[in-house]
Amino acid sequence: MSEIICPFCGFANSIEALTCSNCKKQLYDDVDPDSSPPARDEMDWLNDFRGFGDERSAGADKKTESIQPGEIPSSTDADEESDIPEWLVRIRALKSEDRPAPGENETVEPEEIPAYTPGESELPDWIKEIKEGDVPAPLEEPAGDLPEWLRSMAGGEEVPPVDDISPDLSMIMDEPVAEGGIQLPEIPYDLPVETAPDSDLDTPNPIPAYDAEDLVDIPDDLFEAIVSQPEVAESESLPDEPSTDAPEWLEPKKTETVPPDISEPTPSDSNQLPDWMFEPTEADAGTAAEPAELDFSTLDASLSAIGAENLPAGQSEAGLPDWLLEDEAGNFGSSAETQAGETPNLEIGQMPGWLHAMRPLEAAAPDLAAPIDENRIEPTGPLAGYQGLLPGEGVVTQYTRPPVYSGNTQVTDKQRIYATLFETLIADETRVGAAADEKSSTLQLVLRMSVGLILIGALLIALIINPGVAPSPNLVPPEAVVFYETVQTLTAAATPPRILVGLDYEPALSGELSTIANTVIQDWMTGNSGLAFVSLNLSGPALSQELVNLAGASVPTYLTAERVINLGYLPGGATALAALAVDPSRAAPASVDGIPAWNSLLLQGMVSLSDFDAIVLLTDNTENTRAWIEQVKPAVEETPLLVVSSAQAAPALMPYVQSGQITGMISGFTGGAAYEQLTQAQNGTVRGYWDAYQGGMLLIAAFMLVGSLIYGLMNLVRRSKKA
Amino acid sequence: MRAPLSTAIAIAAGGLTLLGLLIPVDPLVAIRTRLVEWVIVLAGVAGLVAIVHLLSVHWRKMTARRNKNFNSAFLLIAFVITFITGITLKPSHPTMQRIVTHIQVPIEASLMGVLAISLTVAAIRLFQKRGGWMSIVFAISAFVFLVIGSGLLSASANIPVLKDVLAAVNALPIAGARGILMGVALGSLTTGLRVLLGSDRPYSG
Repeated sequence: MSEIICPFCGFANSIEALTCSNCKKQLYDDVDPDSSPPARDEMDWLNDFRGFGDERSAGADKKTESIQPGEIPSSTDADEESDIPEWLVRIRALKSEDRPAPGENETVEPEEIPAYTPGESELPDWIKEIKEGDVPAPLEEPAGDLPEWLRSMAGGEEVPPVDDISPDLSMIMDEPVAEGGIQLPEIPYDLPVETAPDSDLDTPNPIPAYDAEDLVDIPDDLFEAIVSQPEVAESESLPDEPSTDAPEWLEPKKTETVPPDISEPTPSDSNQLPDWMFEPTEADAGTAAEPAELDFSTLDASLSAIGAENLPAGQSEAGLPDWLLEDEAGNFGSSAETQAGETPNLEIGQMPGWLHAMRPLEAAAPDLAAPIDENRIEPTGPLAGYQGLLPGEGVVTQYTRPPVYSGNTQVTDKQRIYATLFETLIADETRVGAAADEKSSTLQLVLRMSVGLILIGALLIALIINPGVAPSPNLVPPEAVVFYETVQTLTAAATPPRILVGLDYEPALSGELSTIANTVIQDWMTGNSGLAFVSLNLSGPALSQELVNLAGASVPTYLTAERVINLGYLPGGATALAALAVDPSRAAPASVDGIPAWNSLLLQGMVSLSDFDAIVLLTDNTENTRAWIEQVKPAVEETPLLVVSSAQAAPALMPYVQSGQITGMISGFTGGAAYEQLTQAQNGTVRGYWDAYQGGMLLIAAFMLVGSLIYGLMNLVRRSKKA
Repeated sequence: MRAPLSTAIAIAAGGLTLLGLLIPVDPLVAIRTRLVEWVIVLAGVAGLVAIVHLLSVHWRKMTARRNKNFNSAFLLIAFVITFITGITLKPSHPTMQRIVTHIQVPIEASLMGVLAISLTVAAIRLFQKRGGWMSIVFAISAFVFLVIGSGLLSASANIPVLKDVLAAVNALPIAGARGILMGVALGSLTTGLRVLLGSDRPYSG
């Protein structure tokens, strides 16, 4: 049970008392007497939070209960007094003489108490022995450096019970001493048990972590002296006089102390205060305070009030209780362990790819620089048993990404000149100059109209009159010859051939292609061939019907309704041709009239394109022709592929003719005229246009020649005039 | 990656079609055939979509509040007539044939004639405005091929050297065409590989 010690008479009062039952004085200066103290039970959480054992508290309570006003606690216990050494008794006697009576000094503040700095003659014998032996003695922190609240917690000048007198090294020094004092080195926390046999290790009175260097710097004789010395109270500690014979590391540090005029913040609400706050602020000589009962809020408030950031580290730690230092030390230790072994709960940073690539080779493969063990004997492999081999594992197993070089091309001067020239050529081609002013004079207008009228007139006369003056070509292209021979071979067979006709040209070119193909279709009809038309053009079905009608008019014996079927339009381009090559009955199942095509008399029994005797392609499109060659030709294998093309598509198809993928070809009016020349057709359609065609071509060539000559002469005359 | 599902479908379809072509086993051929048929159907639907889009565009032009284009009305009317005729009479009907041969063919042939005249004028302008050897070479080549294409020289087979000269001249465009075809083939191969590998995804927008 906690009690409150009267600051005036030192009488132990009940925790709920507001006034001292002995001297009847108010126990609290800033607490309303009417307000009741906080319930004890409400502060149990603090004890639980601190983790202090109840034993210590109970023991402290017992000691506190045994203290009587005006008595020194250590002297009240006869058993303990018998164990007190002689020097301590002398010090206590001197202390008691200097201390005023409780009733005489009611408002003594801790800051006002002068530091106890006895002279050389007042030093105890054991200290003198230490000083004579140049052995630094442990020194206590001067009371003036401690804040008031901490001093009250630390017990002030009280003398601990004899039972607690033990070489508690944490009490010796863990903070710098004020001026005039001697700073002792920090004692390691993990002292062996033999050095502190009586130390109260169970009490939460830890020692901050110490550096190994500090431990090493402690001389052995000093360490033995410290360990052998019994525990002394703060008031009975060594004087603050610096020892001139002390070694350099024992010289007092010039540390900044907390200004004594800094007032401690007082809690505004006393009801919220813990029990220990109601204990006397100044340790009574006969009262044993409870250093373990601390309030974190008070500590934080104190630090915030005095500006903890302005305090030196040592001084800040000095303001902390031992158990808090233990907590910090534990945290430090735990953080060090975390850094050493554990992965902190932090997001692992990802190195950017470019930074990863820029790593030095040593960082990527540090083992490469590992020293070579010349005594190593190769255990396995063909070199087993040899010694001093160069290890290859490090090089083989660890590799780095090849360096990334810049994509900039190293251009030589010559290449740059060429590039500039090429760029100039392109720029000239793409540059659009300003439109020249049209100086269309009447003469030029008449000239243009005359050219047009001459061309139209010549063509009309050739078409109408059809004089037949244009000679038929005697030089027939070989592909036209093959085309002719193939048609003749198939139509001369006993069984009428079945021909697949692919119609793939635009209506704009039907004037050329239908004219050329008319003679070919007539020949097929003459041989009573079956014709199946299919088109990759939307207007193809109509054009094919027109072509059949035109050719059928020249072959009246041909049964168009029975021997011709129109499979219509195949959408999909090359894909449609691929499907047609694989399974024509699925790709084009019906005719344009909706009749099932493959059940008709003409196509009955046919399952693939190879069943056709020939494939004739009427085209003006190079790409579609290539699709036919690529998709259909492999499926039909030996089936001849004959092509009737326009003049503009012929050069692009000639390579396929030369490679044999196209069996035969007729291109343009020239090819049509050659084919008619081969067939000896008397009234060929090409022949009817041949005069106009040849005349128009030669007339255009003539105009070009004449115009070029006139333009050249005009330039020469103009230049000669300028010269 | 954009449109991963579309990419996976495209690669799978292309791969299966290629396997069906290279490995002619029944399952692969069946899959390839079915995929190709789907493409044909889709292409037909795409044609219908294009027609509907064309009609909608011209409908908007005709019904626009500003700058109305009344020429679009002719297109819409012609489409309706042709569509009804084709559905009812079938393409083989004489009326349908006359629509094609008496309207469509002359119009497109006239456009081709205009194109030929335009190209001729452009060649003359080029010759006038930019002289030099290239223009001269172009004019000479045009003249030579006009004469050869007319068939005039083909009738002169009795001239000893002329046959070889004509064969050599006719081989020149074939040489250029071979280069073009090789470029087209390489381009097609590259395009196919890019689609199969997923590096080119024209379907993802």
